[in-house]
This record gives sequence, C-alpha cells and structure tokens, in this order.
Amino acid sequence: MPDIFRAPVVHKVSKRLSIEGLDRFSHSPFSSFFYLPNSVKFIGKDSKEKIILFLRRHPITNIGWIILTIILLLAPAVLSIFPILSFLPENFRFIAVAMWYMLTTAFAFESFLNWFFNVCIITDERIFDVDFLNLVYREISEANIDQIQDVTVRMGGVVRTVFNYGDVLIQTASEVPRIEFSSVSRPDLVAKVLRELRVEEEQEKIEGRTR
Amino acid sequence: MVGSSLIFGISIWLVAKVFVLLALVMYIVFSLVVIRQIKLMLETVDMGLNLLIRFIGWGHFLFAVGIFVIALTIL
Repeated sequence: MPDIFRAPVVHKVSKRLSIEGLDRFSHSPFSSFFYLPNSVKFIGKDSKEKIILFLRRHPITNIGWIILTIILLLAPAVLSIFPILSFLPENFRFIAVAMWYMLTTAFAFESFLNWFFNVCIITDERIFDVDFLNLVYREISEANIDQIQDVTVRMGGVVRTVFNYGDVLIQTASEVPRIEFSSVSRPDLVAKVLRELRVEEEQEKIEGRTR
Repeated sequence: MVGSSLIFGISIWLVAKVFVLLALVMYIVFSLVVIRQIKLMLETVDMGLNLLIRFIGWGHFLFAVGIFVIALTIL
C-alpha cells in the first residue's frame, strides 16, 4: 500500500555553537573547561546525546589543599630539628613518620578526587551537576535545557575576578529548582552557551525536531 | 625496643604496638573504601583516565598494606 504521508526522519542536528573562542580551550582530561569532549561518558547518557560543555572547578581552587599537602610533606623534615619524637624508640619513630606520609597521601588523593569528579555537564538536551559529598555518597542533579528558566552568573572578589571564575546559578522548572555550577571557569561564557542552547531548543520545538 | 617500661607487668611498647597495628588495619579498610569510591566515581563519569586513577587507588592500598607488614615486623 503506498504511503500517503511519511513523517520526516527526526535527527537532532549535531550542535556546534556559534560562540567565538570556544574551540581554543584545552582538551586535556584535567581541563576545567572542556568544549565538545568526545572521550567523556557519564551515567545515564543517551546514545544520541552530545556533550557540549564539561566543567569542573577552576584549578586555582585547588591551591589551598596543594599548599597544605606541601607543608605536610615537609613537616617531618622540619620537625626532625626539634626532638619531639625523641622519647620514642627508633622503630616507632620510623612507623610514625610512615603513617604521617600515608595520611598526607590520603588527604591529597581525596582532595584531588573531589576536584576531578565533581563536574558539571551541559549536553544538547540536559544539564547535570555531579557532586560527591563524601566517600561513597553521590548526588546528581539534572534538568532539561527547555526547563531552564533563569541563569545567573555570580562573580566577586579579587581572586575570582583575576582568574575569571565564578558560580552559575540555574533556576529550573524541574524537580530540582536550582542547579549550581560552583567556581567554574568563564561563567559568562557558560551562561552564553546555555542561552544559545535554550534558543536552539525553542527553535527545534517550533520545527518539531525535538527528541 | 625499650623493655623496661612496664605497667602491671605489661610492656607499654607492646600496648603501643597493638594500637599502631589497629590504626593501620583501620587505614587499610579506609583505603579499600577509597577503591570502592573510585569505582563509583568512574561509573558515574568516565574521562578516559580510568586506568591511571585505579592504579593510584590500588597503589595507595598496597602502600597501606606494606606499612602494616613493616610495622608488624619491626615493632
């Protein structure tokens, strides 16, 4: 039987935003601002979904724990000048120093993991905020792009202004009323990307190209 | 080891050794939790650095086990 009407095959256009300067950012896995990362996958990602921006806290936010780690690493050498542990036998002193370095390693590694895995993801369909609150507890907030109602950029203070990072607060109509991207690099650019995605989503709705 | 420090006939260094070993066992448990945490994190977000991060996690665990064995031997 001949088809009277054949609906057009709906394919989402692979989004490449027209915002200038997005391509020049680092594509290293340690980057805090990653545009169109092909190698990144995340839990619950649709096969056709494309990651537009992958964000994590600005690297400068790590300075506190890095300095503390260096101090902790140098402490046994510095304290060896003072006879604090002299009352201990030699073998106990050795184990005490080894345990100190072990705890320092744990502190540094945990701080690194906390920075590396607390990420914000903007895809062509949704936004995600992935937070690991403690050792085995994770919280993932998500909202569709068309549920975004308002985007606020919050920047302030000398350090944030100098290094160009801040918070992006996203009001949504989803179950999670507010999603916060904390201390992300170039928050104004992130807000611009979100605005462009919202416009494009509206356009797709009008044209009936929504998935 | 200083053997002359006795409380109720028990060497305080023996007591200290037991406490140190207990602390190290707790640390080994913690390092196992870190490995579990890494697994959970990598399941959530995969950035192509799985092998390196797993390696660091297991290295940390082996470091803790190594210190425990050394403490058991030399204390």
